[in-house]
Amino acid sequence: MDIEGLPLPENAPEPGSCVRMHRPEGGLVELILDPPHRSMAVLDVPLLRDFDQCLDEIEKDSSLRGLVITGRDPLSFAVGADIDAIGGVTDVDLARRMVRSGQAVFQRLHLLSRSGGGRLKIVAAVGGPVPGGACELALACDLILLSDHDKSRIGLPEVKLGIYPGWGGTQRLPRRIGLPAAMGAILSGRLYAARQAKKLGLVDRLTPPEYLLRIARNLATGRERLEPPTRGWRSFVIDRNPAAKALIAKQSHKQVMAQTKGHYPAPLKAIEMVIAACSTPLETGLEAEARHVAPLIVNSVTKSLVGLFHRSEEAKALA
Amino acid sequence: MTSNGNRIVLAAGLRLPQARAGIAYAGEDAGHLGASCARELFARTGIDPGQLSEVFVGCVGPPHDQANVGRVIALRAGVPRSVPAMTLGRNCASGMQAVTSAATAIKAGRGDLYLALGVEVMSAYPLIFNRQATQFFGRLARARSLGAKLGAALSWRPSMLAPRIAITEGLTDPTNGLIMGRTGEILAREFGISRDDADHYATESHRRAKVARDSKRFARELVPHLPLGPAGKKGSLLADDGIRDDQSVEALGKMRPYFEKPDGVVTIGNACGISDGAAALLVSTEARARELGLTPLAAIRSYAWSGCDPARMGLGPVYSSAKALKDAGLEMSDIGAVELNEAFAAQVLACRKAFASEDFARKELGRERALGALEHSKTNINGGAIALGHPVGATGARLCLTAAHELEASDIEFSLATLCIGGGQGGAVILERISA
Repeated sequence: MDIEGLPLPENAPEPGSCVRMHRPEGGLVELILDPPHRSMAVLDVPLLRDFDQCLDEIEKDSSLRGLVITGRDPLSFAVGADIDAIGGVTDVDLARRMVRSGQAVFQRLHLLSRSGGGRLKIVAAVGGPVPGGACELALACDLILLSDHDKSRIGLPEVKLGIYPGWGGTQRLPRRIGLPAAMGAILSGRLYAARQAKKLGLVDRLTPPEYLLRIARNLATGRERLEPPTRGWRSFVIDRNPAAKALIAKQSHKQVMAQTKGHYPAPLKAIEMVIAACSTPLETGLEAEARHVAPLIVNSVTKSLVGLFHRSEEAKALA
Repeated sequence: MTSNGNRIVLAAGLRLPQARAGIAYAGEDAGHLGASCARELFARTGIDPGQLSEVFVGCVGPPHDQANVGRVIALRAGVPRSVPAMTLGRNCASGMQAVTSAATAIKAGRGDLYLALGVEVMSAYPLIFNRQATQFFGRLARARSLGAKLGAALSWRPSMLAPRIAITEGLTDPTNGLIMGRTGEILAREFGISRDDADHYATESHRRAKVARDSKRFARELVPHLPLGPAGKKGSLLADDGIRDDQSVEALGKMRPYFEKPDGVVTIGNACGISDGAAALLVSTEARARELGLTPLAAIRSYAWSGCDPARMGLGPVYSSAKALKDAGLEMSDIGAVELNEAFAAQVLACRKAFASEDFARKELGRERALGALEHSKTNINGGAIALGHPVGATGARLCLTAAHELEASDIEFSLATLCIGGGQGGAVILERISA
């Protein structure tokens, strides 16, 4: 991954220290997101770079059959993309490059996975807050296993920052849970509790936090059989049916306009992306996603909303 | 424990075989089942029930038409009308409560001969009309004119057919909404008990119970239940019917977790059964017992009740045993046999870890050192509730009875009967051998 010119956090650690690689048994490898410079893992440039390096090694090792991606502990995975970097970037081209480089890492992971045509069964074993980029990372895997706990929250809240999910979220979520549900999730920016996420199909399986790793390993090695979800006939009748798409687009548009009075451009762009997702090849969709999200990132709306986000976090910390 | 320098003893005891709910005692009610056990005890000991100071009966779910089921049992068992009787409740420890209440009463000098009995007929736990249905019947009863009656009748809805299930609601802690099995799951996670450990434990419980039955160990404490009527009538039972002679770990491994699917540890197979049963003990002083021509089974050295987190009620035995040991001035190493009720295999295994944990002792028990090893070879030597069943009100008395007999059977000085109690409590009784 080429990180030349991409914004690095001030205290960025040396390469190779953000992701730990662990081989609990033959044929299985675990990637643990554990950046030393963050109390909560953030998918910032150093972490993505290290993640990418781990994939180099995994690609070379032909003995591997399973991969588990997890956090420091069963109730902390990652809190998403680097919001400071999003708030700081003012150049459209740089913004697009930032998005594309993240997409590239996730796409590489996806191509290694069974559902992407690769040889690895990839399981995202997540828990605690799994918002935005963290959720998109999980979406690039074959299976998502979530800690069944009150602290678990998963979803794509990007619209609340004036952007939309740009690391494949608008493309992969509709493929996974269908167009109508994905539209609702992305436009509302809602974070789902464990049971709701399971019901929605956003995650494939729940397990108590204490059992998260054990079950993830069982899934990745195939000791427990669980197939990635497929939309089946619904894909034809709903997700790729022009009439259904037109109806969903119209309804969503109406709803967004009623709520935003047209002041926020991101949800409207998100509708376009999600509507087209299931009828477009993934690579083309990702390219469009990055191209359209870049102007939103540098937009003043986003800068204001990022500021608002920081203030509200500070306020929460005081409470 | 003594009364005027006289040791308080379990003078005699007897229990009925425990039956899986809905099988042998399906047609019984607590009043009859308890009385048949008490009658047999009087017959065997030759005690005149008129000499009893009082009758204490532990029962968790007395039949609604026998609110003071203790009195019903006493009268049906031939106890004279002049002898009072009461029903006691402390959930799963109600039978043990009857024993300790009797001991306390003797110590206080209120009397010197008590019948302490535990009984439960879980088969008879009812389905109850739900609130809407109850209100519907109320409206119907209040309606006077034909029109009003018709109007009330029309307010019937199919949802009124959905019953409330007394046994599920009874086994759910109202303060935290956890059904008992889920408290077992909490302990399994906290103490790292695996499904495999639990299944192995359960299999061993069945094996031990089978040996105890076949070697006539249980014959010491058990009276076959033979109801009156034509031969072959349903309801006769010679031994506990929950024991599975061919129980294998593999078979248990195939069962699905019942309370937390799909990753839970507690299955129907490694949890105690829902059962019916009764156990009766005569509690007296050593002198009085000998005067009556009885050889006491055991002296009560100490007993203790304790409270703990309702969500971790399975650890109750650890807290109460610590207290009872302290009162008795004993250590775990002095105890030759332990009857620790097997609510769930995972719960027993969690208790074992807590007994041995120095950390737990410091944080929870206020002790410097760990309570001591709960050795598998000394614990539930004759199997436990996983094989024998857990008729909730009876179990406490059954544990005391089995632990009392174990003193002689294992040739030991002290035994401990302890159990966990829904709602977050523990009870423990330490028994001491009486040399003849």
